[in-house]
Amino acid sequence: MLNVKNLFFKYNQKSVLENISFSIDRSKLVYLIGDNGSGKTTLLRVLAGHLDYDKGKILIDNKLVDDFAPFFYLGHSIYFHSKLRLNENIKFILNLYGFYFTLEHINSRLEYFGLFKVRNNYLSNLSQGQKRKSSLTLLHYFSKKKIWLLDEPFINLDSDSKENLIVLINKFLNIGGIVIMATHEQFPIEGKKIVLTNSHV
Amino acid sequence: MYKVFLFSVKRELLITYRSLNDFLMPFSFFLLLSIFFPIIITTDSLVLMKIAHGILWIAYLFSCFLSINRLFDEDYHSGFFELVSKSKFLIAFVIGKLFCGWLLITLPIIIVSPITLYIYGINETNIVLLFFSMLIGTPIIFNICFMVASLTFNLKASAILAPVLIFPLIIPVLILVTSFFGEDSFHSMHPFDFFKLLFLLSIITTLFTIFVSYNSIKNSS
Repeated sequence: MLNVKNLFFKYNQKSVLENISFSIDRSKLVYLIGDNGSGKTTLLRVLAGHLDYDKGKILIDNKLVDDFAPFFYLGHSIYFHSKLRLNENIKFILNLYGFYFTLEHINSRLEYFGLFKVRNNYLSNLSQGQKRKSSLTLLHYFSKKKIWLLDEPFINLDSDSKENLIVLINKFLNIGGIVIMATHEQFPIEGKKIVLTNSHV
Repeated sequence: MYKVFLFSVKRELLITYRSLNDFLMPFSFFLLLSIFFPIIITTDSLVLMKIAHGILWIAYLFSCFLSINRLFDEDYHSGFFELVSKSKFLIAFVIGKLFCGWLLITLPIIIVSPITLYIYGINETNIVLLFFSMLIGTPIIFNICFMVASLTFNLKASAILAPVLIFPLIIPVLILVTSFFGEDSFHSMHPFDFFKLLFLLSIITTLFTIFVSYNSIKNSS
């Protein structure tokens, strides 16, 4: 269970998150909803440990989070190097995390989002949608994390890929994972809604 | 850990192989600068012999300084650093990047430096001494440039900040490495002792650079 208690975050003396509190049970999805600039991405990045919060507590199963290892954050970035091929990029990232993999395994994961055909392409030769799907492929390898933090994951995706992503998220929820997703759209997965308005929940 | 280091080296080698322009820039800059000096300043061989070592070290410093940012730019802007900042093997990645950066930027310059010294009329003994002093001493300058680049890659004012941070650290190093070939106190030093001193400084700066760069990349987001 994830518990966020009285979270405060300031950026350049301006309050971005004020007294944010919520809790999420295991196997639950949460939609983070709010206008542009309401603090959705900031909240996800604070939870991922990429930004240091000023006050408050983040607890997982009633234990204070200190190293943020249980979280996996996937934002708007591409994460891959333009001079490397798609499969090379994935291999290097998996190696850095010490994950065991085979070439067949990577190929099958790429095929999940229809990227097998472009596996040997340089990242600079891929379309925006293909780049997005490439970074989403990483989700396959981070299913051992307890919480996925996804920042508008459906942007630039075609309808088939959206369905594939929904299946992937459902699988993660079924094994006890928690998903917090910042989005402007509604998807066919049941989930609690957290609405951010002017830095507040 | 060792496997991650090797993969990190392989990654940097592949990126460099596919962007040869970036690879050749510091090398050609060094070559042009060291060749243009005797043409423009003076052809007096006595003067050239005195200033040759200094020119080579300064040419190396600028070659290094101008090209080192490419080791960080795309990895930061693509979000790669953010993604790997949580990896428990990040330290091996940083060591691989540092080693590969030195290998790709510095080694071609060291190899070509004896040839450029012939233009300055330096005798063979001094060429050998300078070659080994560059081999052992360039990591000091490279480490300082790498460390500063790792501290400034995510700052908007990095173009101003980086030189301000680098130069106070570099000046004592430049004085040390060039004075051995000059006429002051280090000149009387035995070459082996001088190399030992350079090696010791290289080790210290390497350890310090790894520590600083690791923490900088870990907190880069």
